[in-house]
Amino acid sequence: MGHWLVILVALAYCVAFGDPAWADTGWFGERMPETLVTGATHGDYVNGGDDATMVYVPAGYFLRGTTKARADALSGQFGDFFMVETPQRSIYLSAYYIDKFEVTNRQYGVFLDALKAGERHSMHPDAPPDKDYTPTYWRDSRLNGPNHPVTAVDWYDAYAYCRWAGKVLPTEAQWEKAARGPDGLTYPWGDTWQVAYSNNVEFTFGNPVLSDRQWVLLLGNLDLDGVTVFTQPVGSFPEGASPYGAHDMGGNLWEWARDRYVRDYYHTAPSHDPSGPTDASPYRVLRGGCWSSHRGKIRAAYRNYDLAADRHLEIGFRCVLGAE
Amino acid sequence: MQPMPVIDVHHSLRARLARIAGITCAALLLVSATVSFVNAARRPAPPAQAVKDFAAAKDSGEAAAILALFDQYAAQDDKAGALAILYAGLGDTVLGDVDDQQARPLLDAAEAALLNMTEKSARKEIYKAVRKHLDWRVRHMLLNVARIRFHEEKRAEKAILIALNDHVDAIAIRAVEIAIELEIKRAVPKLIKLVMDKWGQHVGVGAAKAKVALEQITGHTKPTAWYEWVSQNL
Repeated sequence: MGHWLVILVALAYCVAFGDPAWADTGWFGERMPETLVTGATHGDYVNGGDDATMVYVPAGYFLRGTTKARADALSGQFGDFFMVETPQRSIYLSAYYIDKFEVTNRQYGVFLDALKAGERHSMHPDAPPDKDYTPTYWRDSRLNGPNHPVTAVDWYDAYAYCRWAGKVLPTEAQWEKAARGPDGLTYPWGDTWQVAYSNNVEFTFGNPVLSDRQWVLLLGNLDLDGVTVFTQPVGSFPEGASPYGAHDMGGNLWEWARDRYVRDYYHTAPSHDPSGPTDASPYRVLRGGCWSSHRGKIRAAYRNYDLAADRHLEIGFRCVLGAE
Repeated sequence: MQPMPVIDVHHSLRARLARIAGITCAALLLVSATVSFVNAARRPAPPAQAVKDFAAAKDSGEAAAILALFDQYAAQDDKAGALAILYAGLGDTVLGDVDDQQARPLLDAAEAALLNMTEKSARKEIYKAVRKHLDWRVRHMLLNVARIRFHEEKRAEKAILIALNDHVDAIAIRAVEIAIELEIKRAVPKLIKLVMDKWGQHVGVGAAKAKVALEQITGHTKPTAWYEWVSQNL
């Protein structure tokens, strides 16, 4: 009887004053970074820096890129944009957390308020000191809904936001693994195209777009002033979530990655935690496709890029946090 | 006899290199700060009286008061009048907290006023502002001024060509649309660059529009034919 009492007392002590590591254990038994707490829904985490919901991507290998045969087939249909996804390789990544949704206007607004209050420590050293971090269409009611993803942000805006929130932009490899899971799915939700699982050009305009030519003619003749809906509120396509539970990894907005863009990077990249090329390319990687992208670009392996200082109404971002 | 001092050659070399690196960094920082200062100083400034006038009009809450000032300064028809409209009337004090829909009538009125200005130095400031104005909505409106004056002035064409490289897509896209409408041949090399390099693997609407522009101006759909067209026509 006496030893049971000792055990009970010991248990009560541990619950009340126990090792803080117990409180830091996440949904998958992993030790969480200090800024995270587990969310109400299984698998969700909440980051204290910006109140963003995040999901966990465990350490391990994933299949990155596209085979040459598949890239050839895609080029035949959608133009010569797919060879940069080759060769297809297994890549190992350490564990990390990624935002479940693209960063929203509401979240970005809090960041802008912090900047106004003088919190300017998170800026990239290459960004001009007098840079205005306000997105281009911040006052456009078609795009500035609080739950819509913040758009028309350049790479420096995205970098500064993530650092301000205690996070960083994902590497290109982190982005891709979070989007397609360990086995190299074609789309975040699976291998079969589904118009209604993402915000893409076919969903936005209601026409099938089956070739690059169709896409150029549709968008090239578009009257932007006449378009009333571009982005959708984040998380509008739950069926399109990735194997790790990240939403809108296909469509809604292109997302900035941390890496510089170099065409042939996959040929020389390390197979463990690749952190991007060291070349002085002026371009940064974009991933995921957007409301104006056809099915070839919504693919999780598709690689795009733009100048770091460019702001487009098709570009947003999300952040990551390293796990122990 | 005292022992000879041991000189660590590597250490002394390292220290010297570190000092040189330090001085170089400081010099670079100084140059960069000076360049920023000079650039800021180069941004055109409106006459002080105009700043006061527009601030008072804004404070009155009467949009009509601002519109009247646009007309008043346009009637001056000189460089100071243009600077007053561009950087006081369309500056942060007036437009800073105005959403895009509310800004539209102000921008329309400013456009009409600026189009009435004919004096050479006034017009020069207007075209300069297509590149220099910090508010992209103003740059967008000024592009339309350039479009309307395209057939009158070489400077208008230059302003449109420069706008093709604007970092804000709304400006670059509008410049592409104007290039299509006016069939601006000199835009072709820049449009090729936009499609082939800058806008990557087709970021979106801008790239599609630039491609359509190339097809309409050159009559060809393939990049090789665009390059050939440039060598034959420009």
